Amino acid sequence: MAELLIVNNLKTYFDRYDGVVKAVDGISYKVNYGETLAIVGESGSGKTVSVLSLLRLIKRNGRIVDGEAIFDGKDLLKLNKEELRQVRGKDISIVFQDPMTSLNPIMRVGIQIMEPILWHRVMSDKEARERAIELLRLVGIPEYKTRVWDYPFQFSGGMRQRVMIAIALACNPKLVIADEPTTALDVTVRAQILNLLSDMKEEFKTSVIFITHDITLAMNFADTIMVMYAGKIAEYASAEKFIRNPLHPYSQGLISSTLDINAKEGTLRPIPGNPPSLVNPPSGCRFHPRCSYAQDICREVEPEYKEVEDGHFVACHLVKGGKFNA
Amino acid sequence: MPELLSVKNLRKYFPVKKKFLKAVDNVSFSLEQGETLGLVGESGSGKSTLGRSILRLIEPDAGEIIFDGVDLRKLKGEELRQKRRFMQIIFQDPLASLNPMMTIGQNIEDPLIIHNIGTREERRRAVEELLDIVGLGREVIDAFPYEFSGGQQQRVGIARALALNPKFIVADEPVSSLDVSIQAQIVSLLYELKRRFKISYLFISHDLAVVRYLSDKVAVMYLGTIVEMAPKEELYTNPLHPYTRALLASVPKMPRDGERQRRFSALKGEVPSPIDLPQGCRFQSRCEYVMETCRKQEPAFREVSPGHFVACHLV
Amino acid sequence: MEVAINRKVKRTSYWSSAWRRFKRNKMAVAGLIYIIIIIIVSIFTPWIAPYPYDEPHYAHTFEKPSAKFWWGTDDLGRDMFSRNLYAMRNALLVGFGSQIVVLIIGVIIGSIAGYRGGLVDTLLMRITDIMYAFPTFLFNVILVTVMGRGLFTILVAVGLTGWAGMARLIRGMVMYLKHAEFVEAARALGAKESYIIRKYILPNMLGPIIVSLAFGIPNGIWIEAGLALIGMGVRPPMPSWGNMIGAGIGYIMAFPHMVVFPVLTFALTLLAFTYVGDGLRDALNPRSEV
Repeated sequence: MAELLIVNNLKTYFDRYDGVVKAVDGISYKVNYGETLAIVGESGSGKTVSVLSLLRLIKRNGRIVDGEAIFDGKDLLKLNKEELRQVRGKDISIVFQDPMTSLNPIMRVGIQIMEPILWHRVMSDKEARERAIELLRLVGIPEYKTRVWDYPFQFSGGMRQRVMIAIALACNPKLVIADEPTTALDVTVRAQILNLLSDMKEEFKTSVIFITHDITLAMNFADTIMVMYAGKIAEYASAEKFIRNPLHPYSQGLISSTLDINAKEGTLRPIPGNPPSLVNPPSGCRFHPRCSYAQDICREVEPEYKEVEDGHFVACHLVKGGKFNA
Repeated sequence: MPELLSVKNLRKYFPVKKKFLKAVDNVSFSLEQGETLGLVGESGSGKSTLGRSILRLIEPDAGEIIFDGVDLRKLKGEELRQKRRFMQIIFQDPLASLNPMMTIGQNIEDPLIIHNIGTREERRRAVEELLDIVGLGREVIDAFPYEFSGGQQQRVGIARALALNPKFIVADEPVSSLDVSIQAQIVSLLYELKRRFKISYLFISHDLAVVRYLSDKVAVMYLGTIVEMAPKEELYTNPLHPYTRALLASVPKMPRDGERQRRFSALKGEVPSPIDLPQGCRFQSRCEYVMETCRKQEPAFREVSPGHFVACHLV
Repeated sequence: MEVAINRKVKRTSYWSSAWRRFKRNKMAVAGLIYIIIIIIVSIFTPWIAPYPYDEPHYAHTFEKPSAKFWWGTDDLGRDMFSRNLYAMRNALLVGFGSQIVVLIIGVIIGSIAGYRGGLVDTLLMRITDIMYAFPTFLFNVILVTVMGRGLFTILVAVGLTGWAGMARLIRGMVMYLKHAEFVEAARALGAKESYIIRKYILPNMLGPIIVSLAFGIPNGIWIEAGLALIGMGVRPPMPSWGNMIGAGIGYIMAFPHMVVFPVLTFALTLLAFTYVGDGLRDALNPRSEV
């Protein structure tokens, strides 16, 4: 079976003083073995929550209201605490956004890499130590044999992110979730880390879910692209199909409002309006207040998320037969 | 167009224990009225410090800042405050730059109150007009900053900066903390304002694409100095300094005709500490073309073709 | 090109949203109601109290609560209820009054230290550290001995011994705000330092100051009662929870009413202020919302 992860109708809501925040409101997607899926969205799109829900790493006022997430034959959302703990760090691991705060400042780097190995009892102490050193070498830390005993503050931002990647790969996970791993880094370092992720993916044969707000990066880097808006999936397609034919108006808007370094002057077309409230989302299609093609049906009826051509899913009333009809 | 701003040999060092952090080290450039200079750099480049030093929000240690014919460094107290009317700043974190205890209207109105401009009625009308210019409705006047989104807050920040009709605005990474679709809105707005009011911007950013869109001239900073400066098109089509080339190469580009980039051209190493600078060219530790001269002598910042300046021994 | 907001804008200031958050804390609201009631009662005590606090009824000493004396009488036949009311009044006077002293001293020292920095700051903070380290109660006893045992002098003494925390708090806030981005923005606009202090720095310090004062009041009440307990408080026959409890302890087995009522009202009052302080701290800090 080619599918490593199948998510069906996931709904995660948060209870807040002014109402229920429907952060993720019914999304379905899949990740194949060896695939890189990019989840693209802005703040409030639900991209981070949708993935953290899988490992139930959401805030205390959040609850998974519905859905299933079949990973390797088991429904992640139905696992008990102990079973879930076995999955975290071993079968599925996460690389977080901010390398400055994601590492334990008072623990040596080598120990932090060894921790998941030892917790999941994958190898002996001695083997774990050797593995930690080897991982540091693989992620490109110079003088890795000595640096394995250094503390996080002795590393720069890019180096710390490499350490995070080493920790994520320690138990040879099947799936690595990278939550905006390069956003907090300098531009030139970003390129290094992206290359590293590509290499590691090849080396370890893992699948990757890459969360980002950068559509250009997603189009270049991923095999499959999933665009989220206001807790729902707007569009889902292979990168090639998406590049050739982005169907959803939001996807098109993201592309035309992203400043490309090669763009000609005056070609910037921003998406008007502001991101919607998740407590009181707009009626019908959540994107309609900002959509220049909005029709009456868009204001009233929520569009169905359906397959419009092979492997290409969109939720938009104006898409028929694989074509966008304005 | 007349020259609005001329910065000569500006320096700002921060003492750190027994050494110095050379945040801005001998920077010179000039700007004409209506011209926008894009200032690009990564962390530690000193671009933010440079922007603030020009406005004397941080006191520079040495150099000249000739603004509208007057050396800003020689002004004191009231004279400086008066001059501030013509040079403003927009910040990276819009919420942090607004007084949380004042309403939106009060925040925008404040510059007028500070400089004793207009009656209450006139000020009120000015606030309404400014809100119009930045695309906000009048209903926000009595509301408070934290109720709004980042994009809206930044519009307020821009409205406040425009209140005194400045000739020069330092925009310190004004869109970096905003969502992509909102970034585009704000960049569009800044572009419109530039055209409409002929304001000169010092547009500071790490985002090369945004800089290209808004600037007339671009300067690239590395560890406190400008390593290359050229008219926009020239810099992007004919970059000379290895650092500039590396920056341009490491940015993902919109795939054309199905040409995707799985790997990115990456510069090796990371930005070294600005405290212990090596002798010679600051970029030597990461440069793939480094030669003996680079380790001995710091390259001079020279004009190699009209308007195109570089500091590199290879050129 | 431009984008209009077409949603209704609620008018909520820092204070109204703080009030909203405060209301969600039931115990804090209960505490506030209690405090408001006792403040009103204290203001009108001379009219509400059934008897003067020092009027003895030698024929009715040690009486248990009855229709005539609602909370009973003490060893001199004085009405416990009336005495309690006056004790509460004194406690509130010292509690609030001492905080005014704390505020004045704390603001002066804290803002000068925070704003000036350098040598001035170091000097003032060392003085503050010494004050902080002093055993407060002992210091109060010394001050009362020197200044005399009146309500006013006690209030001043409590204030004089309790300003260190406030000074530190204010200094910290001033130092932080001096470099806050919106303050930098004000400077960039060309504002004078005095204007900045008035409109940008001071208003943004109010929240934590209010919380500190809210916790300082029960502290003052505590000290006042403690001083009275050891005989260093207000001079009898003026009642204080401290001297009432102190006098009544000896009779606790036979006539518990002499101790129970003052203890209960004392404890309830402290509790109420503490809950209100907690509520204020959460309410005035916008980030405490999930």
